[in-house]
Amino acid sequence: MLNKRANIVGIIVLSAFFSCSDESTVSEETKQESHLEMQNIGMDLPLNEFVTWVAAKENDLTKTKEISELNYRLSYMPKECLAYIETKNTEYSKELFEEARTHYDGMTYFNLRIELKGGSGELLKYNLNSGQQYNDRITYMSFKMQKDVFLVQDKDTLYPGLFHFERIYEVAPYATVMMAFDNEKFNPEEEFTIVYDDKLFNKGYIKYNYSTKQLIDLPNISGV
Amino acid sequence: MLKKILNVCGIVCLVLLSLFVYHNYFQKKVAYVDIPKVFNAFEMKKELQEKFKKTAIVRKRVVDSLEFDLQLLSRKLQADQKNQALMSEFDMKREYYFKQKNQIEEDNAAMSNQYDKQILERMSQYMVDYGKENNYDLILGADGNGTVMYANEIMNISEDVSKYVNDKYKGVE
Repeated sequence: MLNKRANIVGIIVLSAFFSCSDESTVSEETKQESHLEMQNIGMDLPLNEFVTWVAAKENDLTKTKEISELNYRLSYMPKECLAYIETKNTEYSKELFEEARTHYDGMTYFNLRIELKGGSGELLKYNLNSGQQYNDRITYMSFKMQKDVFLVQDKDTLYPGLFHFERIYEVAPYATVMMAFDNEKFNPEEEFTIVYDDKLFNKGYIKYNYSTKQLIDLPNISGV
Repeated sequence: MLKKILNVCGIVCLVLLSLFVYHNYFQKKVAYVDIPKVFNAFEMKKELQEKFKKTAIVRKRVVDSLEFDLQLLSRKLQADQKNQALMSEFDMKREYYFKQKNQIEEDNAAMSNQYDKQILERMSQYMVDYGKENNYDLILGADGNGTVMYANEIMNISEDVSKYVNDKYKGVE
């Protein structure tokens, strides 16, 4: 009886040691798994699932930077996703979808969302010093912010060819801008970093790194 | 004999189990960071320091140019001390020079404060992230001012933190 107990205790101890030996090893494995997912370019997904896949945090095309009370989330938007958003309220047809997709040819699109953590109230009214500052912030996002966002590849710096502040006329704890970089001026298949020098809330440089082939190692879209 | 060995094994296992439980549930994970070391190696600090230097140089050039003008005018005035028009021009330029100089000093100080704030805020955020991701209960900041009087070097995680903080800043992490 004692022998049996000793064996059981031994097994428990050993299994406990193995399972919890090093948490960093576990997280490393998890990282590797998610990296392998990224390499799974042979995967076929229907369009709506592809859109979900692109937005999923673990696939790392959407990157969030948490700085104090704010989240800065940059999302890569493949043209298929943009075409999906453009056509989702109409009855699906291949021609319509293809036409929408071609609208987005030649550029690489990203969405940058600045969000107040815990989200209540309007982002642009957060920590306001004066009414004028609110107007200054809107002006900044509409016209000046595009000079504070740039893409760095090797030693080249590229400013967005398209930049649009999505103005929402309601109380929202976030603000979104869409930007696009000209594919002829950088190589989307090679490593690059998108930098935002935040002058809205004075947080300084915020960087998002996309590794080589990250934008092309995507699942195939089936049924389109 | 076999029984004895198994008994000893059982006791050893129990001791190990107790140690394991103690280690995981009762012992707090504590480490310390050499703040100046991490701060000085922080890429954001290096970049903003460079940006500050460049801006300060450009601003200094403006003041230097005003100062040079003033010196020229001063020499002219020494040669022609009774020239009232020159005197009033000199007074006006001298006033403008001091105004600009003060303004630039204030702007530089404000810029430096803003950058310091940004760097410290970001470094603090990344340290919190590091602590959470690596399950620390407490990370102490050693800055040579007596916050940490002594700690075993094995508890110094500055190298790891420095790498983490820089990867996070570069957007790689």
